[in-house]
Amino acid sequence: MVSTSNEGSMRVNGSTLAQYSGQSVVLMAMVERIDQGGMAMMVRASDGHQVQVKLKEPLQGNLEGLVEIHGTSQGRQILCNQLIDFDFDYSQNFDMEAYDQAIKLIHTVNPNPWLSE
Amino acid sequence: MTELTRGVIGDITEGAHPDNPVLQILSMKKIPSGEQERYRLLVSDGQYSSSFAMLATQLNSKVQSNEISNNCIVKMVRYLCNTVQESKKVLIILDLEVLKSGSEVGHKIGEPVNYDPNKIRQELEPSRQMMSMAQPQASKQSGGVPQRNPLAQRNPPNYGSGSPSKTPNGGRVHCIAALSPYQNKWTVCARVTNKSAPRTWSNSRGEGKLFSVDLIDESGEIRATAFNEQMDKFYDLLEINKVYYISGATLKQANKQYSNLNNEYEMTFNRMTEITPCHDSTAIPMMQYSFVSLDQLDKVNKDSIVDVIGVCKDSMEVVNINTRTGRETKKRDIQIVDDSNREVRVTLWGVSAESFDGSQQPVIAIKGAKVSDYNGVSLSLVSSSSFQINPDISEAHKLKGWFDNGGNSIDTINLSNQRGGASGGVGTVFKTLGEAKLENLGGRAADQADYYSVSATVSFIRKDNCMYPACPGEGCNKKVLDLNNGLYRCEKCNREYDTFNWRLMLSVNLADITDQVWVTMFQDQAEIVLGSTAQELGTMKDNNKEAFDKVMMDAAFKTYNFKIRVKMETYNDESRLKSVVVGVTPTDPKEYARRLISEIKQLSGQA
Repeated sequence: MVSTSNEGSMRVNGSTLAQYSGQSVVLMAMVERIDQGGMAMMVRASDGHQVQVKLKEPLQGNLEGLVEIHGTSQGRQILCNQLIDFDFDYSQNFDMEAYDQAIKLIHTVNPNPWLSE
Repeated sequence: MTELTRGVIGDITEGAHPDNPVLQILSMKKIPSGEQERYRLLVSDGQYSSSFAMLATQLNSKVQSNEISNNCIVKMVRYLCNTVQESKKVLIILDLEVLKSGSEVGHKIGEPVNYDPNKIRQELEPSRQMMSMAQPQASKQSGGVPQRNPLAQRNPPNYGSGSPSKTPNGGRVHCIAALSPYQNKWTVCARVTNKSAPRTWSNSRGEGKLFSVDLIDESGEIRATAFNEQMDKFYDLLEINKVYYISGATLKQANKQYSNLNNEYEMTFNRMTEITPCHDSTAIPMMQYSFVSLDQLDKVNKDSIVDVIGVCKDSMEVVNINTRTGRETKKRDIQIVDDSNREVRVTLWGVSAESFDGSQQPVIAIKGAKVSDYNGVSLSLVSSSSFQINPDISEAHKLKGWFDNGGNSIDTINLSNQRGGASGGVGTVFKTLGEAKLENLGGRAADQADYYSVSATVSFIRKDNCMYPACPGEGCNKKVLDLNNGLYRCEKCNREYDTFNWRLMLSVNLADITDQVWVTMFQDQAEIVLGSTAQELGTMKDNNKEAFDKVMMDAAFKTYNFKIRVKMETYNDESRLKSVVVGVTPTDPKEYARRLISEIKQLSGQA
């Protein structure tokens, strides 16, 4: 794990990603497009922003639907340390809109006490 | 010398309606009719007499004050002549002027003969025509006697400003206040101020459906009811706030149990009833509102009836609920706001709830909503309430202007603590266990249960005495006594059975982030939480203790939405709150998350 601090990761959406540049973040997103070679992909964050995800290892097999990306914010990009994918039903049922509302809410509190391990 | 309008009784009976005829009242007889007494009169025009005459009840006081007495001479200012029972004509005097009191006259004028239409029509047809022609002369001689003109149009009564005085067929329009069971062939021109939703009834005499409307004209108001076929015929035709000509309905004593209108009678539509829309009717009064501003609602007593107007800011889904009497009905909550920046919940019921469309954020004017103090202040429509969508009144236009010019985005103070979930019904207000305790739910009023919903987790289930052998009798469920001879006795049914059913009565500890509570769960709810039926558990309990324990273990630490009834119960002089789970559904994470988000927003003032 490449963690710049040991305080845990911040859950972000597309627009709050850049505020945490250099820090650990968690991003829930839908896979849009995987680059040839499998070292990067384009995902759509909960607020609809597109975010580029750089991977450390090429992707094995197909990946689609909902993913949770644990990584380091690099401005508009994210360097992925760990990728969690979900099965189809879970993807279908995930309430992205409510999730985004929650992300917005937790960012209204300063300092933000909600850090994922 | 005041003279009588000779022969006018004959003319009126034949259908004429001369102005201000003068008659002598020879005698009066009190007849009982329902609550109010009426006077039947023997009247004379000097030529004919008739005993088929009545005094409208509003004139009774003139009899009691002795203003109208035997032998007095009266001018009929307003009167009606109705046919009852095929051929009998009854004259009803609606308004009169006493020209000479009975004591002044003192005797019967002339030698009137009883008017028999059938006989006289044959005998006197030629002479009646002559009489009509001779009349102008006679009246010249008599000077002050009002002119009698049988050929003139029927006189429209003086109703004041321009309401229609003619029906579409050219007939006379009657006023609601003058309607009584003693007349027929009337037509009223009235505005519908209220229209009930269709209702059904079912009793020992049969079943059917009905709806009712409240009608108003400038003279008064009346309730009209339509049953079965008449309901099918008229329900869609009659619209609130529109004006109609109505004729041929049955009139009867009003049943005050169902109507609070100021009228002794009410109408029932029948097969002969005709209703046609009226389009030139500006003088018929509009529905009268006396609006209470929403910021005044918290000063109004609970159960008061108020008129309010507001913009429908938000409208919830229609939900099915069971009323306390076990009837199933539909309800819809809407949020209305007004320019006092207050917001209040209004509950619509039944068909109104189903048909309401709040998507365009209409202005809604409500007549006679009931104020409730359930969860802050809220309003509920009752059977006598009515509402109009986007009414054409100045208050509505003003509010719409306010709403469209910024009112829709202003932060409003919500008078109703709205936290209903999608499942609807009583007790759908979600609370935390801590809130339920803090608000003293169940202990606020003696013998009154409170309902609430909570998302909580099962933390512990008491295994001892969690089930009992119950009577297999239909709907009994009473605990049976094992007679140890293969028979089980039910005290309630007073008989023995060779079998019994297991019933669950589970004592469960629920917890959420704020608190914990002991609740009781019966059969249906307990089976959901345990994921096993009572019969299966009963068998396990006796034969496979380990499996039984495992079911109890596995049931713990699962989260559900519980609907809980809490009530103060007293055993042996000791009072304590008893919570019973009346509904269990698995917590839907999506719904739960959205509810939490909206609560956070409300608490932080972002909503």
